[in-house]
Amino acid sequence: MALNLKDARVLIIDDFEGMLRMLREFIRVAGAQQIDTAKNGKDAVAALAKHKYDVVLCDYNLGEGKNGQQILEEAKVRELIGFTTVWIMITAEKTMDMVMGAAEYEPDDYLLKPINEELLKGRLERLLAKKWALQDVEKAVKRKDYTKAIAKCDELMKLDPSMAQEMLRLKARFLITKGDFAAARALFESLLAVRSINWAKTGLGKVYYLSGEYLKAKDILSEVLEENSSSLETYDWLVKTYQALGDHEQARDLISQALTLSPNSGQRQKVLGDLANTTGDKAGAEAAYRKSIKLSEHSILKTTEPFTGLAKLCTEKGKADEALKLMEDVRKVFTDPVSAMQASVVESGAFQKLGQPDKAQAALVEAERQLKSLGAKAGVQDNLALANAMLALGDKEKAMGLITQVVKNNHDNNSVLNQVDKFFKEADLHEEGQTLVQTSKDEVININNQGVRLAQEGKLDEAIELLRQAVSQLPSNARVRLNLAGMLLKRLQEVGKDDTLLYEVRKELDRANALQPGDPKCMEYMQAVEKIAAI
Amino acid sequence: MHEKNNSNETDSFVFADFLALSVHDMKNSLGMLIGALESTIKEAQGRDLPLSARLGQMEYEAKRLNNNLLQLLCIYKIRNERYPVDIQEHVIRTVLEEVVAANRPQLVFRGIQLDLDCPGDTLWYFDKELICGALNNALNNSIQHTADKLRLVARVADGALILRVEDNGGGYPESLLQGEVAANKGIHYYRGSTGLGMYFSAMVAHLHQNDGNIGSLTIENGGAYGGGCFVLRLP
Repeated sequence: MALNLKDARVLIIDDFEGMLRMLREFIRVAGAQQIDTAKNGKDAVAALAKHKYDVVLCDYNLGEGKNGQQILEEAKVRELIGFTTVWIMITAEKTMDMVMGAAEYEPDDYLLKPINEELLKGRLERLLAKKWALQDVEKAVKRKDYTKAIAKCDELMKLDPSMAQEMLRLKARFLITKGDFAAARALFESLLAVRSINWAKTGLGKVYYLSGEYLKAKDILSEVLEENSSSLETYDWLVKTYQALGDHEQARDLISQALTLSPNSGQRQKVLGDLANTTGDKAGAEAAYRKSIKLSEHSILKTTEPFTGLAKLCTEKGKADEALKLMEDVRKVFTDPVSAMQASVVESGAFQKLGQPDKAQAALVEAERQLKSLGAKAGVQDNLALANAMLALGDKEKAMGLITQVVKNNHDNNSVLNQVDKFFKEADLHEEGQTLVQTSKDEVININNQGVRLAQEGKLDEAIELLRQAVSQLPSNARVRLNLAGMLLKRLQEVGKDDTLLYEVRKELDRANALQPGDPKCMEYMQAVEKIAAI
Repeated sequence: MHEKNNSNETDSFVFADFLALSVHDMKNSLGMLIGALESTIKEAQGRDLPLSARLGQMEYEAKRLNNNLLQLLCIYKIRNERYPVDIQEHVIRTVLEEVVAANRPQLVFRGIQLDLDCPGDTLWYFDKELICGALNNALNNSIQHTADKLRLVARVADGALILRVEDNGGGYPESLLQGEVAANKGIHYYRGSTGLGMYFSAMVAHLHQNDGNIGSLTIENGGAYGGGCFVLRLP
């Protein structure tokens, strides 16, 4: 990690030769000795893959191919840059995307043109110093040790009060990632008691949403929008809130507004496509999915969703050929097993529409095979889509089997159970579905109860073994994992600090938290584990 | 009749967007031009005095153009609710140092002494880009009208940040000193300018509101150096 420009390796990315030369000269005069340049996204990614850079200066607008944001995303996703790399995005004017907190993959700073030597040097030196100060925080984040990261933020804040705002923001982010919504909420509220700050309000709205308090989330996020001082993040959370409240019309209006402010997001176009589809505007949905595919063409973050969404619309409209063509594209562009499975499901529907039941059946068998190999990696949506395709081909037994597994993995997750309920209603199997859900839920509850009983009887090892098996059979069930973590914690308290046990319990808590963030039991266990680890 | 009206509206809408897009493009070119001029000025410094003088004048004009375009673009976007107003906490001194850095080439070229009077660690809430835009405009203006001194002052008092740009020139004409500059007053010609900068700066001030208080812009004469003063007050 470079503290001085003199020791830094710098990459400058700009499609305009004149600008490239000028920036290079500025950087050279400012003291840097190792300077590379790239004129487009492809060259930039190649350079980033070849060398570890300390500083990247990147123009946002690069003409054809990837834009600056897409290069940054690829560099971060592929870990071509480390957490110590300073990334500065250069733009000609301020845009909505620059309001910090909006993008998941943010640069360290934005620089508006015109730029001169002194300005650039000052900014770079400050950012390098900041990276230096933040290195302990970032190291903790990399280990997913958010408790430590938060402690480091507090330390830095005390040392340098001018960093307070940024440290508080990081701290709030870590608390949310950790799932400690109560603490995040208290932090936002204490900030808002002093002054109305848009990011803190948005953050509070986010916490309300994550805690399932949708009406409160709606109120505070709408307030931020009315104050005309919002980030794209505000829009995104309010869209989610309206979706959760079932108000798809409002959600659609809002995502359209966000797209007027920042039209280049493939992800938001996809959300618009989904919402237009839900609200019955098939033409709007089709247009949005097409835009989403186009905008994400050069992005490493692109997903199959707009492809499958569009293909389903095509099939409905009787253009099953185009749907098949789209799935061909999916198979070319996405090589992962989840995408292959999703493509098979769509193909099955398209073949059926074309009156080719044999091919439809073959595609379904293929999808099933892929799902099996995926295990916990397949999402609830994927499972339901496959079950739907099975029903369409008349294989009810298989469909029910699949959904049983979904319910067992999510027996106390209301959002998933609601989706399952909706699925059964739409398939005209409501009564039968309700029985299935109840039986499956009971089965999991029984395992959990049995574990608790064994532990109470002093047979902790047996209890742990039982739950380990349950976890391996129901890898996406947060509750089972939490119960296992609870047993492991008990064992840990008996034997004292034990690295193997510590590792296992942390892993289970991490997974449980990822599956169902913010569970109070999970927070409680995490604190207990850290107490033991600190001995 | 109706149809005709509609098509006019559509035309003017498209034209406004086209204008905004072109302004953006022109800003890009100017950014390059300014950069190239600044580098050339540096190279020519102390060697070819007449050339340096001409280059310095060119850089000043290019900067003025850039400021004007930036202001037009911001006003257009703010009026269409497309400007991402982003009021955040900033270390005031850091922001002011960057404003000074952006204007350094002209200060050096004209031999103007600039004093920065700002506490080191005070924080305040504002939209950085808008405030820099307003200050750049004020500095660019003062650079033209000062004798040889400028002062950039920041103070937090009575729940507001006061930012002052003071010079030791002849000051503003009496007719302009009517207290607060209203953003909706329309365009006035003064100090050889269209008033765009003042209009923009007053608009920026008004966008800063907190707890029922609204930001303001005033121009006055006096200050530490007895010349013109540009005063932003941000609650």
